[in-house]
Amino acid sequence: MKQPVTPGFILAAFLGIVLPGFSQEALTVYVEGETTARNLEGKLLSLEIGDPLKSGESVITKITGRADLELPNKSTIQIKPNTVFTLGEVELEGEKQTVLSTAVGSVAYRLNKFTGRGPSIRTAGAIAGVRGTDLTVYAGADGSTLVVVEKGTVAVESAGEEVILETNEAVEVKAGSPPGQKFSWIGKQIDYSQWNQGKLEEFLQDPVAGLYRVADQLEAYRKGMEEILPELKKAEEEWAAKYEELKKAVEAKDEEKASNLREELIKGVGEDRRILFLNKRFYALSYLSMRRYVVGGLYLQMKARYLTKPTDEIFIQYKALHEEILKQYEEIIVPHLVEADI
Amino acid sequence: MIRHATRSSGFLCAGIVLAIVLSSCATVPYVQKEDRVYKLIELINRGEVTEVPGLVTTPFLVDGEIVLLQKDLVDFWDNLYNAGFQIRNPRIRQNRFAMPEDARMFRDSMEVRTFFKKYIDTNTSLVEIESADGTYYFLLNREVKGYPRIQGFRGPVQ
Repeated sequence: MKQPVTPGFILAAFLGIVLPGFSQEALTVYVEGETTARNLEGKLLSLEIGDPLKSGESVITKITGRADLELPNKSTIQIKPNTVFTLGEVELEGEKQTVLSTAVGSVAYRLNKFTGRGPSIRTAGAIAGVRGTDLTVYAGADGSTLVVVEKGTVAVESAGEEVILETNEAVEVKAGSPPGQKFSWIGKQIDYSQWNQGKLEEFLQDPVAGLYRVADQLEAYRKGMEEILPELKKAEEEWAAKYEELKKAVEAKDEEKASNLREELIKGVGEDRRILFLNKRFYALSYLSMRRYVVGGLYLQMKARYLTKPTDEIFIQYKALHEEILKQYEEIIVPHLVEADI
Repeated sequence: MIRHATRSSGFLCAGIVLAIVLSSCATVPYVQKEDRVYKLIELINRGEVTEVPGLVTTPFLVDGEIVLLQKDLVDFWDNLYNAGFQIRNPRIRQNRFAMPEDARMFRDSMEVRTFFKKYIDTNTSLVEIESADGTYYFLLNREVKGYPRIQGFRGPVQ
């Protein structure tokens, strides 16, 4: 699972600039059944005990698969069957934050205290901020999320609203909606397959409304990304101008000026550009993840059920909205993705 | 000396011919056997596709959707059968090796083009099947337990 070397990195290295890399890594400590890792080049490889998982890489478990990962502070992540989990990073207020995302499926976390900012636990529809917590996150086929806290405190945020969960509390969040009422899960057996089946049945009662909820969540990712684009463009222009200056200084053998420019390219405008780029990627990849595992999964459910009745009005409406989502994705998000993301 | 040189060049020629034969074997596009395709359709119509291990594996293409989760794929085939899906009166209209340009038969998108680039190789055939309900496209790879392995499905196209 090698990190791809981009032409930009080669050029920068040639001019003596060392770019900061993505540092967050998890170690695979247990694997069972069929479990694959999707590396930064987009290749699907069999996951083995001892494999590191880097920022941007995913674990996909099949029906019999499961995997346990360990973070550098000995926190553990248990990835259960039929799950897509991604390790990522964003930059918030100048500080890197690890993002642990479940696109679909269920993941249990035993999180120790972190130095600096704690990780953000995400699904397609909700964000949980945690520190020293044991919790399980369930991400449903319809984009819903269920967060169950076993120990500690978790702040669950969605659609601009937040709910605080304490030990033995849980909350469900529908795609594109604020968190629901929190409840005590003690005495209730929570089984992912059953919960997910319930979510799917709920979705099938009114699939068009369900897809609109998913579209609302996708819209939030699109807005998040598009807000960053003008700033990123400005930072890239500034970086390119400084880079041209550096090339001239190197050609002119003006070592002092070149040294100052290198510093600016790394810490000044270079740092701004890097953070904005990282955050833009985060939104684009979050959109892709929801499009792939939720929108794609629901399309398969609908197609299989309605293939024998293609003139059904519900299916016609559903297909039209699905097509609209794909068009928006292809026009707005795909230009910010690379083949390795697919 | 002359005899030795002749023998060497003879070996060289034989080696080159062998290398060409071996390399062409490895890259000759594979076209699906028609009787196997019909056998697969019978299996689909009986709703037993997911009962043959390794026959439907991820990554898989359904129309413009890349399927990476095995459960989604198993559910898809099971739900199709439960909904009464059958390919009635099938007739193979086209059976040839799949090419990158065929991506647009599924969806003209960067995702599907990438799927073809990554997962479709010289072992994959594009099979077009005409039926009573429209035309279906299948991406079929080499056999698994006597059936072509399915990599992609689209249809019915009217």
